[in-house]
Amino acid sequence: MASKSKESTKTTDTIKQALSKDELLTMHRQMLDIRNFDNKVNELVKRGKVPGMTHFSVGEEAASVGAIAAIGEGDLITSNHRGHGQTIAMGIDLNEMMAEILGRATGTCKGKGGSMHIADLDKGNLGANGIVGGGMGMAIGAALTQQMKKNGKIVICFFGDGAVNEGTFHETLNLASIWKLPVIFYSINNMYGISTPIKSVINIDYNYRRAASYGIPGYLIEDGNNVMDVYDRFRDVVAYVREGNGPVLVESLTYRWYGHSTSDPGKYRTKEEIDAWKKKDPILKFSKYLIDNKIATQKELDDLDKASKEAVEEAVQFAFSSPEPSLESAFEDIFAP
Amino acid sequence: MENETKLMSVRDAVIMAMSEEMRRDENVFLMGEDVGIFGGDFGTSVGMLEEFGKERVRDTPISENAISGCAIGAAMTGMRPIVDVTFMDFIVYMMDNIVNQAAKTRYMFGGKGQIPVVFRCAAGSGVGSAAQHSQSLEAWFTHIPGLKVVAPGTPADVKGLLKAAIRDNNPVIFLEYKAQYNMKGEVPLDPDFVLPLGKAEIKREGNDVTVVTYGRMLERVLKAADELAESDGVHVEVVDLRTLAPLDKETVLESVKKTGRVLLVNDAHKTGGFIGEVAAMIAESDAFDYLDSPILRLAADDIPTPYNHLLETAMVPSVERIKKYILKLVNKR
Amino acid sequence: MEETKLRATPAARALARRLGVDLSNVIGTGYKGRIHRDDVAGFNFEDKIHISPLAKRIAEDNQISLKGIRGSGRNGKIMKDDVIKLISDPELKARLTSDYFAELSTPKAPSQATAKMQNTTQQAVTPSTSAATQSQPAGETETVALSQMRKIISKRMTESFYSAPTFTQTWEVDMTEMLALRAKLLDPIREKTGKKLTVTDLISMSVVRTLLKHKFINASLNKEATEITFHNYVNLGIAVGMDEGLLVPVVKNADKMSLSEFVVAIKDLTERTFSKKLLPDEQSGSTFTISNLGMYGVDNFTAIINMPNAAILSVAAIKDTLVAYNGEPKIRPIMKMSLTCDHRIIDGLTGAKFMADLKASMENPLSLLI
Repeated sequence: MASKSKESTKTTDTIKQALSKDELLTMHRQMLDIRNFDNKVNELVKRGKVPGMTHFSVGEEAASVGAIAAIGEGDLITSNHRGHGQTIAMGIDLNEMMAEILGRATGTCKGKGGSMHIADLDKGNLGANGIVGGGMGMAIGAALTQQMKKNGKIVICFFGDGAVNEGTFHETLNLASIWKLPVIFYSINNMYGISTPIKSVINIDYNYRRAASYGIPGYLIEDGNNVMDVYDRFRDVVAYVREGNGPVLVESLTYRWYGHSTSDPGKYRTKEEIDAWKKKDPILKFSKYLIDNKIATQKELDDLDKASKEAVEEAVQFAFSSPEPSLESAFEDIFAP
Repeated sequence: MENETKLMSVRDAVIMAMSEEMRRDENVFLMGEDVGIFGGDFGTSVGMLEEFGKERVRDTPISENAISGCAIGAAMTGMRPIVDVTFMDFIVYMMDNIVNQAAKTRYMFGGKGQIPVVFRCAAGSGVGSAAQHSQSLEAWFTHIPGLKVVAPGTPADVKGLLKAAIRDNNPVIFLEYKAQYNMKGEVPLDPDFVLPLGKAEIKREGNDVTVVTYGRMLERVLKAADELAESDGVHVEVVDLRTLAPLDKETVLESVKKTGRVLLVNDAHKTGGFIGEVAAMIAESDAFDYLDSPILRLAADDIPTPYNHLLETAMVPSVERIKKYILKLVNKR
Repeated sequence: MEETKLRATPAARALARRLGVDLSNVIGTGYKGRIHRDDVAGFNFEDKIHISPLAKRIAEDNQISLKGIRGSGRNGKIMKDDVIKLISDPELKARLTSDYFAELSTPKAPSQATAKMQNTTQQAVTPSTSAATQSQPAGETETVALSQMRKIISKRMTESFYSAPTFTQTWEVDMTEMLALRAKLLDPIREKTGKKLTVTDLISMSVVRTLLKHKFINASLNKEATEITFHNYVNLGIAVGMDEGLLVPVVKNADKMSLSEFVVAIKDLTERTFSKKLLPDEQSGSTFTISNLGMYGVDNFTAIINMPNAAILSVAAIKDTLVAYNGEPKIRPIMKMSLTCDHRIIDGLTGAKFMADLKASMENPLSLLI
């Protein structure tokens, strides 16, 4: 499958050979987990079981999974409010994640953070963020630490198309570029900032072009729903950044199937548009790729889906049977000792 | 070396504190505008680039959002940055990162992670820098759970508390008063001289009136107290808060119970200022029944700082006005 | 005075509560007459003299007392000029020259000087209250305003009289043994304490010992008459009469004292009562009170209960009386004592039991040692 990304620097054959079957199936499983998890949460929301806001990554699975497949142990990410995809791809415990969304004491954040603030520090996930662009400063800071410690680790900073217009985008890219920080700025462009289509909020065609203002490389992944395309690009970019060449800006195009959040009926998008994108379902695409290239059978993929759905169901049971946090816990964890 | 002290300025105490901490812990580093070769906008990092190099004394672009965000990200991943905000007024550009990120991250993550970062601010009026360069904004930060706010009033306290702030594992807003960078005092030379955060200090004992203050006004309050002891035989007990958040309520309340009269003085604006919080705290405590006078506040007028020197000086409590207010309490007026 | 709000600081209110001082009786020296803590503390049934330091010094130098004088300063504060005016008039000065007890005990005759001053200096100084009188020619009626002390006694007595339904029991006690005991103890006590042991002291001791066995007598009723407080200690109030009024110093924890200790305590309190050095704390907190008019030869009388006590013992004079003693007519020293009780908490039987015990212990005082 030929890579469609602009300005690519390597042949696809060498890239394809880099991943083993296990790794590829892991990626597939991750996408299934994201899809099944978010669908399950959506269902719980409709049944009135989820106490707060949450944002779904359904439809955008490949954009996260492909990128994260290119980084390793010790590398870090920061995420945004639509962070389920990245969080699951970074290997969070689904039970704890579900418990957190339901506000239970056994949640990743003891029920005190909720969907928008889930972090998994041990696994390198510096957390989702409720402020648009809020993770960008943190990402460059984390990158600075890796640079000062000279440990060769890097940071991927995930944000959407909306964050690009925040002042912090400019400031952090500028600072990262002058200090050559090991960070990949990654804009997952799903073309809407809540209800505003991207064309109405920027005067250029795509944000990746802004990399030129900072003298850093910029890449567009046209088919952000093709997990291999995403992986291809990221493999290059990760190597570049790890060598100490400074930051990079990457943009991928994808689409969210549901509204901005659970309370958004989505009147600003047409049914035709949504349906067109659903046809480009990243999971179906990858299934086809795996089967066509004889890497896996339909049955194996079905088994994976079944296992994924079971894991999600288990997470729900775990969450529902978990206790609410105690009232005293509200006063804990404000300060570090 | 243990008990030796040296007469030095606030500025030198700052340099000493930061340098000692950077020698002690390689994760501590300084970042901000003009901290390197320039030695800091107020000369508070002179000589440090030469000693520690540009990795650890980092000049930044004029990019408060990125500076603060970067510091917080670094702190979260194992470093211990000190941010030189320069004029405290510029901290407003950093508010999202300080308030929405640094203050809340550990809590939102259920107790995981810590953010050991110090934001050093040059606060207050008195040098003719006018409205946008003369504010003391500590009140805002005391309102945010998850932040510590420190405002020392003597060079020794500056050194001891800055070291404590750097060693603390939480975000700290540290106020230095630009009008006092040259103020001198005896400072212990011991590199392990660290004062505790969250503890006020009785700088002067007395039985007649309690004056609670911090930062720039401490010097004036002490002077007023000395003068009143001589002229009117009024003995003032001066409580120096030193740390605003977390507040040392016990020391304040004990003193109020002792004297029954309290005046609160600071150089920030009166309305919405931090001393209003202290006044309310006193009024609702069991020290209420010991009050023999209303609780009085003396603060800067609620006006943007004027440029003209006379106007600027008049805006802030003077020694004379402090004495007047103390006497008001003593004379039941 | 339109301003009717009672202004008082929290410290003043707390102290007043503790001492049982009614704030409406206190003059406040603060803003708009606000009462401060030292206004209450200085309130000691004495007129508080409100005076500037300089005026005070001049007054002291000239040895004049300014009790009852109201000055021209704020809130009646006596200022330097007021004092100077007073001392520049020789007759006035003579009148005001400090003679403490003389001043207190004899009502002043109006003088020509006062009349003259009234007419000429209306605004400046207005002598008023207890000692001084209005200028009226002698021989006609004399009207004085109630002194602070009198006001308070009046208030207290009225409250007690009208809120407690009382009854009184009178008992006769044969004081032979007690008088004999006193004679024996006179020297030893004098040696130990330097003080003279009186019969009243012994009577008081008997009362104290007996009280602890009768909890309803050693009790207090709250103002709303909803709660009785039983005290497991005895704070004995002893009524002390002076010319200008009545004070009740309290011997705290009398039950824990030996006879010598009690003698010393009561003598000290009485002395200080007369010299006006009694602390507010020493005038409150009694659990029972004794009023003794025996030294004046009274046959019998009933006192008014000292609130919030449950009862009061009125002790009359010891009189040689012809009585039947073991079937034979004898002259014995008999003393009548009356227990006036608050019938809301003490019934006749309770009172009688107490008095019976008391009488027994007084007629056989050695039982006090058991």
